[in-house]
Amino acid sequence: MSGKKELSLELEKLSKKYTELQTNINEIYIARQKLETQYQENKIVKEELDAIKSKKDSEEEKIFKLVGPVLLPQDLTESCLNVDKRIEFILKEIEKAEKNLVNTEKSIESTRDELIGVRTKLQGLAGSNSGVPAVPAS
Amino acid sequence: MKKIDLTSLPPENLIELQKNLKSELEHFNASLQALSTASQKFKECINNIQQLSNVGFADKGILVPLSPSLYIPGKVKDGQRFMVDIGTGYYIEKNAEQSVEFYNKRISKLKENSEQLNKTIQEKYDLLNKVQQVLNIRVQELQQQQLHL
Repeated sequence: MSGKKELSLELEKLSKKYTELQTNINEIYIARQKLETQYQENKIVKEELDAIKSKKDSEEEKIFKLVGPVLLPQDLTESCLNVDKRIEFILKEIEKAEKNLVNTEKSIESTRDELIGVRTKLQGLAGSNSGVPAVPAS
Repeated sequence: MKKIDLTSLPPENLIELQKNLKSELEHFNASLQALSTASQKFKECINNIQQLSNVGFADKGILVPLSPSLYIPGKVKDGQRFMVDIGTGYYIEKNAEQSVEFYNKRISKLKENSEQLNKTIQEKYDLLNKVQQVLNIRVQELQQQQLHL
């Protein structure tokens, strides 16, 4: 059986890993939300472009794109393609983030289980070594 | 989703759940606020369009702000064409009617979202109340037990 010191070290290592994982999952979560916002915005743009496409007098509504400080005139079909591509990309990114989220969640869970295991081992050791119970009896 | 009987949960989990619900509610309320601000902004846009597209308005001069404290006189060249920001850097030139239509569409969409959000908030509140009730009962039980000891 491993000594008390080793167990303490392991406990420390595990809790460090645990907090790290939690920060990671928070970051992924925030990124996921950002992607969702972008997706929604692009969807609105797509709807608007499609609405113009379906109109007969589309000559009336000219499309521009803000590039730096200038508005550049854009071609309708080109803009549609552009937005389509962007939506596709964002959806892929969302999928990636989702997978990442599930994986990190899993490793958080396993780390937590390990953590609890080491802690109970340590408590048991403390109890048998010093004769003082780790959990005071009520 | 799994259904769990609230009364079967230990108090620690209930408190955890309560905390989560509270932070969720805070988040939702902030979102609701953001939605109403956005819708307000769109309404202002419609107001501006209607004012500008009024016949005769374009002949009057306007003051263009160069900085918050410096204005120069200007003139509206065309009060009928507007550049509408549809998001992600794309702008579309529309006439007054089309622009108003665009903003109205956005407003009604925001309203839809707000209604949905309101419903969710109400559901969360109900759940929070239930959790609170169960917690209260638990506390009473504990107090009773302590009295009997």
